[in-house]
Amino acid sequence: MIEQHKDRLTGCLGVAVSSVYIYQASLIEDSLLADAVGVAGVPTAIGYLMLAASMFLFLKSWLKTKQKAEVSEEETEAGGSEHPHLKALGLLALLATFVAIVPVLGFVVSIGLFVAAIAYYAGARDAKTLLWCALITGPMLWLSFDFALEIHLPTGMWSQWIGK
Amino acid sequence: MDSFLLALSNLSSGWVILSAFAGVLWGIFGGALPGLSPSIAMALLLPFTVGMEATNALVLLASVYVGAEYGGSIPAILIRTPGTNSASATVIDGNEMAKRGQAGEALGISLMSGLYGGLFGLLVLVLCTESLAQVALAFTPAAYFSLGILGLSVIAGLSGGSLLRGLIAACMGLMIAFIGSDPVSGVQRFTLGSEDLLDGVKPILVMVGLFAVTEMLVQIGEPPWARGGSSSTRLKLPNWAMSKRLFKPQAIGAVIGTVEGVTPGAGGTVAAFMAYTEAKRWSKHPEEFGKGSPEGVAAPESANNVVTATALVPLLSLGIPGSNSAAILLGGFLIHGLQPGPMLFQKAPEVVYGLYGGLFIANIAMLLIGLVILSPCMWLVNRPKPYLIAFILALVMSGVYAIHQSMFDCGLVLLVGILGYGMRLLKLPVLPLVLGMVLGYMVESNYRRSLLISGGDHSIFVTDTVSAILLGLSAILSAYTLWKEIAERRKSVK
Repeated sequence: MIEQHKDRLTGCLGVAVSSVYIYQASLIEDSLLADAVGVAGVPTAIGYLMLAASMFLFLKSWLKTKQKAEVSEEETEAGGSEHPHLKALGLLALLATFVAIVPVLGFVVSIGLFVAAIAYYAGARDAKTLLWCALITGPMLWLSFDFALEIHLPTGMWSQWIGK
Repeated sequence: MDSFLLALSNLSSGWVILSAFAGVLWGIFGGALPGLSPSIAMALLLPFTVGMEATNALVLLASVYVGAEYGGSIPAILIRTPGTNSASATVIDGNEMAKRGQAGEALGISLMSGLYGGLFGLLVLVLCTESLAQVALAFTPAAYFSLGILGLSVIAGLSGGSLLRGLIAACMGLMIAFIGSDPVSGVQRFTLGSEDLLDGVKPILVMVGLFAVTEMLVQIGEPPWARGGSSSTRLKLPNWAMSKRLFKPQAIGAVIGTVEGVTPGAGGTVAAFMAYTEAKRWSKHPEEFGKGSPEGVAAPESANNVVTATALVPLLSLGIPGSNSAAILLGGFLIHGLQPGPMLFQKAPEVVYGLYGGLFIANIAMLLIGLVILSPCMWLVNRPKPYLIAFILALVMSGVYAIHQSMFDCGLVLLVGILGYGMRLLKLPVLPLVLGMVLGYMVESNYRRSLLISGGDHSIFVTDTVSAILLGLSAILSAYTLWKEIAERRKSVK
């Protein structure tokens, strides 16, 4: 992506985010304990600061476009995925699926499936190793957290059998 | 002199040595696990200290703190995942060194800088506790606000060449810091009706998301480990020439760590970031920072390990716990019927000096344990990329869940990961965001408290001596960085 386009996009996003933030800050109700600055005072000021910085960045890049455009150096490395953003999106989908299934399948089962799925997605193809990873990771983390640290991991639908 | 002899006598006590080693080992484990903060690692051991002798119990808890602050740097260097908040400054150059096949060197530098920092902090603690306690007492809310501003003034140095982008990122960090209950009135802000956000967003969640999740999202689309050089798993301690080069950043880290440590509430994270930017400012090779500079690892590691000792100054001398970890240690004192404060040195000197002796052993234990465990750690991260990505994400998710035992946090970390990915695409620097988020609460709450005290009069920030000095220092630092940036830009145009 051309450097100036990145700046312009950053500027636009900055303006959008800060505008929403300032609007949200205006909805905060003042408390009876309110001080001179008020509950929304500092957040509003920061919102305006970001708005100003974003607009300035946008204008700066817009004026620069008339000059020579700089092309960003980083592109896909040789041997990497041709669609790195799609690949990242796929990984995000797997992570989101994990967050969604933990309350149902419990942490130990979900993390086992999760590890195998991610390793496969990242390029591992040895079925035996994948199976071992799936089988070992769950109990290992359970031993570390539930047993050693006494941080109880969610048991999901197995709770009626485990009794937690 | 008697105090020294008392402290030295503890160095030969078997139980003190055992407590120090066990504490450091547990601390390194806790620190290396993303999500398990030093204070949580300490809190988990607190119930076990009830039946212990007071000195051993306190040495055990303090050693956990020492180990955890060091342990946080291991995943920060090897897998770009800071185990603790204060290790996030180490990620920048430590992980770059690891990517270039210099993980052994980076871990060696972090270990030795941590050791020097820890020992320097201990020296300060032993020699200057009473005088430094006065510094803590001089800090009014106005001074805390200015300290926060001083912390934010380093943003220019962390912006990667574009102050505007750095400013936008810092504003984003501050915006995240304002989520949750208002520090003065308790009114909910930006929680979108979610009870999970009432307590705000924990900095460690944002750091894990920004560094670890983002890195994995990037790595999944890249070829098998793009590590330059060899994939050696040997730990390399700095040689004489390197040690000489690292002296300056370590000294900078030590001084900043001392000041930040004795100031309740400031903490190792701010110290690490300030040490990093100051080391860059004073370095002969500032252009190497961000690309795998050994000095960029030494300064923050030295700073955050100094804090492990100097943070005990306000606790021991005034009874003020300046951080969560110090609060847990305070709990350890109270469990054993001891009240930290000026009288502690008269009532139970053997415990205080025993703690000093124990901290010395803890630092030595950190070195010895580090020498043993670091090579296996490096071997572990040299495993095939697909399995490593899967394991790192499993560890991140488990660690994040452990913080509040909530899946909401896991979802939040994913959102932050997306934010970090977007920021990387747009070349927005993440470090100003981290700093803004860490300092947001401190700056806002103390700004408003100061104005409550002064009745809305802003002159309080310049009439308070400490505040005025800190604000002046912030102005000088910001002006110097800006001037340097403009000068460099002009030079490159020519």
